[in-house]
Amino acid sequence: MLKDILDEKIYNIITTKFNYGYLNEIRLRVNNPIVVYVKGQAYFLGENGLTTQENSAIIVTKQMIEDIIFRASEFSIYSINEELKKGYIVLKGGERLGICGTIVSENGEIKTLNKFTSINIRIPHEIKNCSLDAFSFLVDDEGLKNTLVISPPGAGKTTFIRDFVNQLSLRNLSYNVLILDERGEIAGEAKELSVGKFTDVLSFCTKKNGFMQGIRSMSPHIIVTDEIGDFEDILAVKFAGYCGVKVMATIHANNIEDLKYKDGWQDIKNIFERYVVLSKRNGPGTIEGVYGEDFSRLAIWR
Amino acid sequence: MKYILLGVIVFICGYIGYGLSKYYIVRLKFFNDLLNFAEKFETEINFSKTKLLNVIDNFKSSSKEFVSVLTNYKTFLNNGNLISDTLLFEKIKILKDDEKHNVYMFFNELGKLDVYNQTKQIQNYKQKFNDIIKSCSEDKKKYGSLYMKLGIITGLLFSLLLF
Repeated sequence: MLKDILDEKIYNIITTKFNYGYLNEIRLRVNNPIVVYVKGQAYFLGENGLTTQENSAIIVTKQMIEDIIFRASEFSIYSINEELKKGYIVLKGGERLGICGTIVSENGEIKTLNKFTSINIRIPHEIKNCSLDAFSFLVDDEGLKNTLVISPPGAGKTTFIRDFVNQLSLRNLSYNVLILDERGEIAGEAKELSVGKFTDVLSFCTKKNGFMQGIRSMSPHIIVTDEIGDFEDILAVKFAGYCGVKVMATIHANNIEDLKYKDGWQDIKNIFERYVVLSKRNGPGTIEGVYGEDFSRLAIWR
Repeated sequence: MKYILLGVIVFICGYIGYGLSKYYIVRLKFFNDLLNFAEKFETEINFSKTKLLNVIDNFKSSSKEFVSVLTNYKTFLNNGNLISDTLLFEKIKILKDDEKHNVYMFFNELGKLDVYNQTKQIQNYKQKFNDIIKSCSEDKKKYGSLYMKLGIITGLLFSLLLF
């Protein structure tokens, strides 16, 4: 929770001086002003709330950054080394704390991260019904479709898939859903975000292990996961396909055209039946279009 | 009546002597527990990576003063404040200034390093605490029983002089 990690003064500004519900990100960089993203727009954070004046913004100190990470680790930096090696910590409320600093490596292997210089706190939001416009294209009489949600970072991919899963439950479509939550962002660390009554969550494991273990143990109809990136992730998604399990995943790209330049594109296009493109045009979670397996436009909102 | 009064005087002087010698016993107990805590913490971070607050909560100490330091330290952590040495050692009178500084530095660095560096830090402090324990044991042997004996002898002398 933000309250547990932020300095009391900053927490009070964030929660009282503007609508916290619209807060997407807080960025702290040593010796620079605090930057907050509200409804996708960047502002400086000053004593009186949001400001566009740099000279009235609160300046981040090294101590401030160290304190936040110390508290985020529950006063135990030694216990979060694996997270530091990956560059982020997930808090109890599902907030993700991205960290930059100096990487310590030995024989090419990352040992730890120290001398912290920047923090990026991403606040997850539940935007109720944000997946509704695309819903009917992703589930029809034949069942669920293998779906890939495409957007640049911070455009609401995780929010979209969380809402989609919740919508399945709200409609009593009794598909067994398995969320493979590698970073604890989709359902939160303790499943505190709304993901529905037909949903199981496998948290903090790699896609390779999660897909295999999840299919064997929970027999899901669909596996929902965030950010497929490397070749191993694509293999895991393919494995689900061979087992007859549907997949909803997300990937970083601006649009379908950009996606075609990604490694593993040939595999991706043989797996997915629907592509949902999101943007930040009208705030995170704006649906730009839904495309079919041949990339024909099924619906477009622009 | 005379003998009862004599006994009371010897008891009071002996008790004062015990009070003076207790200072050395309490100091030794404090540093022994501090060393045990450092050892427990070192083990926990290397094997189970238990969170600092859990290590503190599960540590059993027989030293009232050390429990007080741990409680004050936990309060600092939970309130998100910087540790202040005056408040950390509030109402604790058994420590010398340089010892306070060492204990303060030890707690101030807890939980702030990775496993490798935290282990090295703890080992470094364990060495310092061991040295203090050695000197506390010698003091206890030397002065602990001395004050007790002096108290009883003083009591006897008073009794002789009075009666």
